[in-house]
Amino acid sequence: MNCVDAKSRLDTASDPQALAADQALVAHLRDCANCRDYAEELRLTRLLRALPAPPPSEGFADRALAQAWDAAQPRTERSSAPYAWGGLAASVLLAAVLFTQIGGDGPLAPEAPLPDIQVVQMAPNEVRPVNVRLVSKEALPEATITIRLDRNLALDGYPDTDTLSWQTALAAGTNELALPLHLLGDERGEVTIEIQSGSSRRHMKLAVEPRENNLGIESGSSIAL
Amino acid sequence: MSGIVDFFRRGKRQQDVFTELLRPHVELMYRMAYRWTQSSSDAEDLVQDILTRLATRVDELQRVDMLRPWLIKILYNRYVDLYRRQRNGPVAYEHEVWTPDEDALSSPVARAQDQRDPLGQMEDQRALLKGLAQLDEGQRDVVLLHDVEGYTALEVADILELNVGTVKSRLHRARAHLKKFLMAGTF
Ligand SMILES: [Zn+2]
Repeated sequence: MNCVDAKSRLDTASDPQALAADQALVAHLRDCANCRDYAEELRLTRLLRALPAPPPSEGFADRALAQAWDAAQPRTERSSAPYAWGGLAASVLLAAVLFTQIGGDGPLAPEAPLPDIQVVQMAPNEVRPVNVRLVSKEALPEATITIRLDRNLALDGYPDTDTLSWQTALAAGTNELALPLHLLGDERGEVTIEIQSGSSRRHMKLAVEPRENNLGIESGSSIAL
Repeated sequence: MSGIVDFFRRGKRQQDVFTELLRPHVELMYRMAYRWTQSSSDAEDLVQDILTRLATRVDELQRVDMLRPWLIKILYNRYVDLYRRQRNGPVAYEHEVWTPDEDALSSPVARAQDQRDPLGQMEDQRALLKGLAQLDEGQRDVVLLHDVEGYTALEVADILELNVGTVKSRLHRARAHLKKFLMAGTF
């Protein structure tokens, strides 16, 4: 075996045991310092390339992107300054942002760690768009979204409807759903948003709590999408 | 029910642009961050920090030709700022070989890798991490980028702001040092 043969043998075989059993190769390396170096370098770089690393936590990429975007937005509606809406166009009011993780590794994977329920405040009889963010690991071409409202809530434009269900395609990544919620009276209401795709199903809950009307926002002010 | 579909925002929003541009790179950034920090949670924090900074720079992101090395360069600079400069000196580079947990081991890919390499690789890798810990940072950065994560010498030069000759000579010296840590044997 010459140097060209030895190097090509080293390049093409990745199984160390097979190489060690190759008598001709072993004999050549014993006599050829050049090829011995070459073999060692190859072994080193293969080991380095295979150095293990733990994967990030589940759903990290989508979560991190969504959080990054969220954190970078001007703080118009965060709990610290919830009443700074006056100067904003009604159409961009962001009442709540919910995250959910759908799709992924298998059917009925455990729920992403979310607070059990998100809470927004609305004035009695107010209509406000509530943004719901759905983060999906993969495109879900035939997802079914179901909205269930208790008797204290309605969707503006859908009077007397407590359950709405429709099929839609969700893109991989972030999908934003703007629900025009209407708090019908002055009691707490609850809405459940469920996403189903194949045998995988996720849901989240949003509570709408009535707010005292002493903050300069007119009672019953109706905000269109 | 067709009106309901209108609940979805129309048109491509800045956020979608941001997500689509960066989504393919997040896991690579995480892995590189892990190589530097040797900690999953530090790596996630570092990537989160970078992504948050980038969220206000979508226009700039759209103009970058080669996003991957550009992102790794930002990551590197931020890592140096947050981890190296603040600790006033070399960071201890720990030598713990991460091993897949049972879940990961039961995946077909992990099993195949396991069978392909039944002997000694863990030992060698543990030894290599010790060797990496002894390298000076300049050499270690080059090995981690080039040999461990597979960036080209040109990309490494760009990320670390070195010339390619320096990258190659550091690589050469680093490999010579690391070879001493491998178990006896040629393959
Ligand atoms: Zn030879």
